[in-house]
Amino acid sequence: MKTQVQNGDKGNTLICALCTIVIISLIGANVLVNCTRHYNVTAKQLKAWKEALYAAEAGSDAGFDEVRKALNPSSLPFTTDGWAAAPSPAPTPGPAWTKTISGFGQAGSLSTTVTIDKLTDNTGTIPATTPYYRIRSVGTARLFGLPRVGLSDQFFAGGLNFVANSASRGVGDTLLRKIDFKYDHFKGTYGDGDGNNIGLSPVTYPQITRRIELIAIPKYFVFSGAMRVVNMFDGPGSAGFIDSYNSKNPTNPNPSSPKVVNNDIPGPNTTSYYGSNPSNSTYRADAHDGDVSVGAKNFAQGGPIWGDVTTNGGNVTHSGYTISGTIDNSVPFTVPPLAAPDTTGYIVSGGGNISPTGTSSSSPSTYVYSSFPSNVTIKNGNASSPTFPYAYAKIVVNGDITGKITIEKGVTAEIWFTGNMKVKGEDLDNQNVDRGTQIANPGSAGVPPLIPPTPADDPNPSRVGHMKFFGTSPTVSGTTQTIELDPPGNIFATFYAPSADITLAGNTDIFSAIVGRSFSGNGNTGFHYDKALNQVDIGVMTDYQIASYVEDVR
Amino acid sequence: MKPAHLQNQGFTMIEMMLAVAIGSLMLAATMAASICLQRSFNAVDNYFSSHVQQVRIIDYLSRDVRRSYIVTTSADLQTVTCIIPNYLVDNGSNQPTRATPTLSLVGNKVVANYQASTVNNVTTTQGSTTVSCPGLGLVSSHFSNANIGRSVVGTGIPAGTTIQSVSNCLLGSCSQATMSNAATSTNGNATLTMGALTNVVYSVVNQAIQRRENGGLTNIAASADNLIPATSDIELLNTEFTQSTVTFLPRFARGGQIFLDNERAGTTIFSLTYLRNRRRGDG
Repeated sequence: MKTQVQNGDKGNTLICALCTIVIISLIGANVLVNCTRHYNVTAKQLKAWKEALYAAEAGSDAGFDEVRKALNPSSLPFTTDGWAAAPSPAPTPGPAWTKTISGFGQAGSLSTTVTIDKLTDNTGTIPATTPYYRIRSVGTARLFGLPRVGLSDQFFAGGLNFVANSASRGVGDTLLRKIDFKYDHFKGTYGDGDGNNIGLSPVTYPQITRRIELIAIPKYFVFSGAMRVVNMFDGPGSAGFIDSYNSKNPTNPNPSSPKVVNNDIPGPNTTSYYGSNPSNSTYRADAHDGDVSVGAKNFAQGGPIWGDVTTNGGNVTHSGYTISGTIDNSVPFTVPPLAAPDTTGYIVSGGGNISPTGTSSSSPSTYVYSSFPSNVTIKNGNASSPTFPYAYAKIVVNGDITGKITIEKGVTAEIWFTGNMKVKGEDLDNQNVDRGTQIANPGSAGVPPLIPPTPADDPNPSRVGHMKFFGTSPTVSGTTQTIELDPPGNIFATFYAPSADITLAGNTDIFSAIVGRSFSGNGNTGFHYDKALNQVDIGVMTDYQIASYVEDVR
Repeated sequence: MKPAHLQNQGFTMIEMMLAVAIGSLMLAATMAASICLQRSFNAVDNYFSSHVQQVRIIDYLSRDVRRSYIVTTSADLQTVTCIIPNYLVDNGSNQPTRATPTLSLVGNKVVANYQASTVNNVTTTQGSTTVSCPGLGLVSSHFSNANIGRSVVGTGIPAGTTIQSVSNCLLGSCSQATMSNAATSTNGNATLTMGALTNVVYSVVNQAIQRRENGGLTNIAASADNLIPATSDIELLNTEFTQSTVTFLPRFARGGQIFLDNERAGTTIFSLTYLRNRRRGDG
């Protein structure tokens, strides 16, 4: 019989193996915990933090879209589509509106609340009659994943972490992302953001909120090219051309006597205005910005165009036309109709001489005519002022313009008319000068007095920019406004008439910029766009734009 | 029958030595494996930890750049200075209120300011503390007594500069001002923003990345992470953005410099952020 061997010491191998496994498992578990925490941070928390901003920006976009409706009288903003008056305490001075959009994003985890209030500028930067808007948007994103993993668990009510400074709020991710695990830290600390309604506000799920504030300001039209016509362009005449110059350039030659030279762009024997020194690259660059934009496909050309051309669906090409710049046939645009100004408080006038004393384009002297006299002179009511010898006038004509209009040196005149316009070039006597070389005879419409060059003092560098015509859109459907500019005489004026068919005939040279429904020019009419107009808005609001973006990082 | 006495018999020396040798080898292998595992786990842990800090740095930087007026970067691309509108009104408590914006002109653009104002068409001269503008009574296009003592920023104006005095004044509109520091460049058409502005500087100090807001330190990344940021500021005609990268060297890495460089490059996190409030000399 064999006796079984009792070897009781052999279990230590198993213990050693178990201990090794336990130690390695502990290390592995620790690593897994750390990795899970980091995964939570880099995946879940980061996702929620970024999506909260997306939600906030979505809300601000919705708000901005609503603000833009302010341009359309038939679709007033903040009246439908979930908008309501903002609850108390609303932003001051108000009024203010709010809207909440929720249930979008992954599993409906995102929401946004946007509040908009109306503000008025009292610095004179924009007219006080035109509001601008403050858009505050709060984006909220639900935090998925394991709650509290990897972050401070000290977000208890009344705890130090409700105070937003780096010493007590924590560091790193805690300070940056500010996750609300049980309570909304912002409402608990800052209330509405200005210290109102501070109180504990439990959250349904862990969440991250981000807050942004945008400022939407009115956008005013500037003449950024020679012509912008909605429906049709036919010009210039076969002997004419469209080009540009810059009256702000102090060494620029006198644009009233353009020097036309032969050159090889866009083709031989075509001509362009290069000023008195065609070899000067500055003049050359200034001469090639006579851009033409057409909001339809209807485009016909006679003479060369020194600038870019855009159409909406046209087939304009370099081979078929004489165009120096780029061509794009896929540029749609619209121009809002131009409403007549409210003439409440305007001086009712019928006389041929007026003397405005307004000192800025935002606060001009205002006049309203029921019918325009055949000969009107707008005198400079501030001519004797030693500090600011310039005057601004805004004139509303309820009817047609067919007579002579003279504006004296130093006068900037806006002339709004509801009817049609039919004048000769010499009828529009603009006696101002460009910033630059002193000139004795700025046009063929007469010989104004020799003007001392005071260019640095004139806020408006452009002679053209001193005489501005605005054709208000007809209120009767199907009615078209017409503007007819005939020879003799050159013209120094701008025309903004989005509903007008504009024709230019004869050998008139027009220094200008035009917005209209259509344009037709024949003969040897030369059209010269002043690039300095691109620096001055004409007071017509065409849209809103975002002027400021800030994030409340508390 | 012969009883068994096996349990009382010892190992021979050879058996013992063999057993000890085999046991030692096994223990050494186990220890080596444990150490390697520990190192590997540590490296993984460090990798994730560094990655989290990378992301945090990028997020901080992107958030500040997005809301900045002006962003400048140093020649080595490792110091980034952000000039940010001061949105919050410090009322001496822990509950600041939100400032109300005011409008002003920059060039021919309307901009909104928080506790600040702008003057455009300003001429700065390199090496000179004097700045001048047309001084007309136009909107915001002149200096005034209210600017004295306020911070001033703009292209070619050193950080921390303030307005010391104003001169050539007519009816409150002044065409000249004196700064506390000389301009670093000559510009005939600069825009200066003056007022309460927030200055945020990112810099690398001993391989840690620091964020200082108006001088106060914000801890955004631990030290010894070997994190390296690089930010380029790209200014185009009508827009401006920054391109930032943050890298680190994983602890897995063993090898020559080229290998290490490649390992570092493999950890790159990239971010491109546009300035929403771009405000340079030309607006």
